[in-house]
Amino acid sequence: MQRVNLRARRAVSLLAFLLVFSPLMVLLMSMAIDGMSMVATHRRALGLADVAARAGAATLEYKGGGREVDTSWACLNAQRALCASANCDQLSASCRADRSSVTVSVALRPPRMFSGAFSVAPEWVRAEITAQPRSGIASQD
Amino acid sequence: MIRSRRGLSELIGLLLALPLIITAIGATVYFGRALYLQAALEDTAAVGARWASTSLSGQQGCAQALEAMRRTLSGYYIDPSGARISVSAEEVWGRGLYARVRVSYRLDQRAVPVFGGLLGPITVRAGYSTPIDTYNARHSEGGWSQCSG
Repeated sequence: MQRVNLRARRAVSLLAFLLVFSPLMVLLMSMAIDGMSMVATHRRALGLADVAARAGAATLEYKGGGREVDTSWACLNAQRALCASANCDQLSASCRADRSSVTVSVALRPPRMFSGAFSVAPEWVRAEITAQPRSGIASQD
Repeated sequence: MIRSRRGLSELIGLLLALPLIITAIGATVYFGRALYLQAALEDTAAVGARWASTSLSGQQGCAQALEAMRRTLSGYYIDPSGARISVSAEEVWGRGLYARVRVSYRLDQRAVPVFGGLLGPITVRAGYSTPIDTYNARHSEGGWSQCSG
């Protein structure tokens, strides 16, 4: 009859448990923290896009009293408002304007526990807001 | 004898794993609470910026922004009396003012295991600057009042 070394098996099982459980726990922890970080960053991006889009829409007006709408002036004011609220070197933003609305898209980098292959959160978090003059927010994504 | 040895080995295993588990839970709770507060303050400041710039009178803009921010904080189950809120105005724009909305909150983290004692309380801040167009919000008629709470 073969004898089984229970003590050795127990030591191995404890080591295996720690080896498997520790990275798993760190991964779960990073998922929880990075998830909340993503939510907070998305909220920030939405706020910035909101402020910029409304600032742009408020200045959407006819060029020199004519019939052509000055969209570049609206986007310039959107950019000014954005850079007054945040450091524009640390974000990526774009502005589109037409006769009736201004759309601002803001992308921010969320702080992450791990980068590269071990990362569970995206590198950039993007938010987009469309505003119309005197009618507030038209859509948000 | 064998049973007591087995118990001892299990106890050692638990003692090895327990600090790891408590540290992981502590880190998740500590940073989770801080990030939840950060998201709440970002929303609060954005709401404040929106209400500050949509007033037709300069006296009401600040008051309604404060009220909206307090209500937003309450919606996140955060005590508004613990928050420091300020709404001020600055002349940096040719067509009106910039309303600067700031909100900060000191989060007591003493009850959080490991990290609460290690890193202590943290102050989370959020703020936005939003233009108030003279032509859209007739604030120039009576000036634009500033406030804090």
